[in-house]
Amino acid sequence: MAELKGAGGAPVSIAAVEKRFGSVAALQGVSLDAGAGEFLSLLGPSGSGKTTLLMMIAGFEIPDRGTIAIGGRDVTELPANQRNVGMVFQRYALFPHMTVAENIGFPLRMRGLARSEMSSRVEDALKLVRLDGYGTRLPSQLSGGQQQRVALARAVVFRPPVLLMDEPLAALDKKLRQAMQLEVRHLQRELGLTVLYVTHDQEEALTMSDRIAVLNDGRIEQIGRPEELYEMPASAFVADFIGETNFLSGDVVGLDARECRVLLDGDGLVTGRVAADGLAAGTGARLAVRPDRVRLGNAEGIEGTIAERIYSGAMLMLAVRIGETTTIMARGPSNGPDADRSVGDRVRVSWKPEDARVYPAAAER
Amino acid sequence: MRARAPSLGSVALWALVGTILAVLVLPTLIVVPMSLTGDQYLGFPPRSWSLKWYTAYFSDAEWIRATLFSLEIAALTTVVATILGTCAALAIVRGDVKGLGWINAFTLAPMIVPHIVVAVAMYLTFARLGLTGTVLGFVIAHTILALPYVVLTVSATLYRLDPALEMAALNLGASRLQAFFQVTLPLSLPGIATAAAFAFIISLDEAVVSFFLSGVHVKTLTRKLFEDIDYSLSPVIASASTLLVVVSIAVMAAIELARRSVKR
Amino acid sequence: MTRWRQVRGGRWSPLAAMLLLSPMALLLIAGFFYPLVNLLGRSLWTPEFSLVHYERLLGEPLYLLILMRTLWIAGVVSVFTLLLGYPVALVMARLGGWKAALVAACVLVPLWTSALVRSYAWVVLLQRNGIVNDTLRGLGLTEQPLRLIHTEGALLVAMTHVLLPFMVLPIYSVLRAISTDLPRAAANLGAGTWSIFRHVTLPLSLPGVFAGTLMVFILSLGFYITPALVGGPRTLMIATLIGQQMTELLNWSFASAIAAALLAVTLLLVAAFRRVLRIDQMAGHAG
Ligand SMILES: Nc1ncnc2c1ncn2[C@@H]1O[C@H](COP(=O)(O)OP(=O)(O)O)[C@@H](O)[C@H]1O
Ligand SMILES: [Mg+2]
Repeated sequence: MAELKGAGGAPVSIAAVEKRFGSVAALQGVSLDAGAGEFLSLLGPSGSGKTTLLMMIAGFEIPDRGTIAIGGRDVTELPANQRNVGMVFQRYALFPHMTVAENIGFPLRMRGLARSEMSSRVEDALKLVRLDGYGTRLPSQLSGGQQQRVALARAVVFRPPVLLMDEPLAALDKKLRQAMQLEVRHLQRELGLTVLYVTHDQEEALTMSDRIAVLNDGRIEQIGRPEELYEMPASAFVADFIGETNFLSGDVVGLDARECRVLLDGDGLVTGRVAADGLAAGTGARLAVRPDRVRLGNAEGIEGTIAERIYSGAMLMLAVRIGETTTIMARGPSNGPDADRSVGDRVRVSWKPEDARVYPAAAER
Repeated sequence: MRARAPSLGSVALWALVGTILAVLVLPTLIVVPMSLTGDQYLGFPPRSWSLKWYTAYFSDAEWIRATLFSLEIAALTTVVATILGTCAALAIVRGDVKGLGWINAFTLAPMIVPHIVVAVAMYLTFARLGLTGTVLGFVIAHTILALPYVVLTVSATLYRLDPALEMAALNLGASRLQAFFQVTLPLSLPGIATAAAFAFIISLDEAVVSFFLSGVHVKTLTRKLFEDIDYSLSPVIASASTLLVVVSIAVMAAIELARRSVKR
Repeated sequence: MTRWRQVRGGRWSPLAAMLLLSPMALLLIAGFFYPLVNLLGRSLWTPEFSLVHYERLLGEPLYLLILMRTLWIAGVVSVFTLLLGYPVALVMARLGGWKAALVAACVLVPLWTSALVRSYAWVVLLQRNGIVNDTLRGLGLTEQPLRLIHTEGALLVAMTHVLLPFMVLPIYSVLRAISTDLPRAAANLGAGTWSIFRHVTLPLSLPGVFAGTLMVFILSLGFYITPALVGGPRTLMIATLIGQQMTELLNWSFASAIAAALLAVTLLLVAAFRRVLRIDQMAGHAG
């Protein structure tokens, strides 16, 4: 196994990259630094530019503007076959006419390795992904998960310092996907690789990543650790995209450096942290609060009626109707203090000001 | 469950289609029994059977020369058209090219222009260059006629091939050529083989351009057939036709079977 | 390393693509397009520029007659192949298993055999003491052998036969693509067999009908082999006229003018109906 450990990971640095396809601006000024050995996810909805960014790092697209560096070396215009980065394609792209061992040996053959060295490295790679003994099979004789592991082995067998993965688990069913998430993470730690991992699945990004870059419309909305993104989303888009969020619209009525008071459209005065620039008294605002931070009580907060009660095993979700148009979701343990509440009960809804975040309404697209 | 009695309409339809198919196939295959006649003159059905017209064919130097010449042209055309057409298909499908619509129109043009027009045009130009009645002239002409089919067949195969495979090869350190020879080529070989078979048959069966490009002594099998059909009704023509038909059907059937077994 | 040498999305660079295309392009330019341009030039410069050959083509009643006859024969052959080809395509699309393979073989085998050999078969069948005459006499329908060969009827029959596969295949591929659910849904709604065909299948198959008809029409216009062998002096068509002018009368300039006119008509038809024709789907039908 030690054989597969290369020099460890290399940092990847993307600076002010822009790319247009005709009239479509796929990337508009993206800058991003992944540290050596870091697991960085690129998260965003479909069409946000994730694949384009990855293709540029792999050398299959050239940025119109900006630079890309791997391990401190500018590779912006280096051909794909000289970049020495591993890549796992979405549908694996295993060569159907080669056996598993030939697939994994391919990058070594291209590098002119001796036959003996090659077969021992291939053996190691197969062991690494727990497929020893499968070397003589054809890809078509393997299950989806096994093909995925072959693709992984092929991408790391030549000890690249960087591994790129484009929604590698999207085709697998949920159970297998979770098992593979652990496996990929384990492999990354074992080999000390820098991983850039594209996904549109926020849960996958949260569980696997050291840091996440959220892309939207060819721009990075926010980069940070999973907790940062979850607790302090920098924009309404991020708050909406990561985890579940109640959004409440209203007008700013009071504002200081830290906190903002919002008069809701459906009546009721609420408070949250200022989360973005552009708030001013009298302007429209959106307040975001996670369902698990919403507290139900009888004394303080805005008043409403429980409209729905959704039980899902460990957790209980209550939908509280405020006025005509607004519904606030509140979530807690199913054996918690709110377990006895039922549909039709009157309750008051509140939260700690530091758990809620206020964004300017204009941020909504 | 009760079997439904077929309606009168569908019986009629079946009978009609059966008749049409019979009329479609029989004149195609009728040369086979005609060639096996023992009579001196063509007639159907033959009054006696014999292989003597095949013996006559194989011992006639002129027939053999024309046949060998046709085979030589077809073989060379196959090689040239397959290579040029595959390269072009690769550029069209996998190349970073602009104006695909024009390139396609340009490539398919020989398929659209009537062969009599091609024949006259080529004759006028080739005659001046001394290319009529030469191997080179025929190979140029037949390659041009076969190219559209080769390009179409190979591009169809390439379009079905996942482009990520070639990208994966590059990403793993292969050069452009290595990626082509190790990944793209082996995976598109069935399509290329089909294209080669098309090219061979097109060249072998081509009659109009060959008619005009043939010289008095250097002529293709189709030109020889054309001349003899006009002048005589010797059963040896049926023997030569039978051989032509058998070769064409055998090659195309082999390709069709291979294609089905690959598709599974 | 300049930017244009790079691969985009894993594609061959523009330069590499040009290099790959150039052998074919050079061959086509030198061996195909140049001769066509040369042909056009020969029809117009003799050696001074003049339209005399075109005037002759459109001015002399004989040639006008041949033009009209060519259009007429192409039209009749298109109608015949459509009438015969549609039922075959319909049955072929409905079948499965070995029956479908058998019908497909019946359509493909003629396609894969040289038109020359098939025209030759008609020459033999239709000759004075050929099987058709023998049968007619055997049935007591005629006393004397009929003169069948070199007649317009013989030409129509032979051309219909030779071109039939080009009608069947486009219609078949369209019919095959029609979801079987549609006729079934119609049947569910109480439509009878004829009414389903009339209101569902037939309208949906029209693109195939157009493609096949156009294809057969265009091929008929420029057809040489069958008219040359089965037809006679009184069934001269454009292509055989060109051949005659080339080989017998050695009037190359006039032949060039006729060929240029035929080329122009063909290209106009193809350009006008290129969406209907779907030429790029013909790869499988080569031969
Ligand atoms: N080769 C291309 N040609 C034209 N448009 C493209 C191309 N590749 C990507 N795009 C466009 O760029 C945008 C970003 O695409 P992509 O990077 O694939 O997004 P993601 O991977 O996040 O779904 C999309 O609008 C897409 O349509
Ligand atoms: Mg993508």
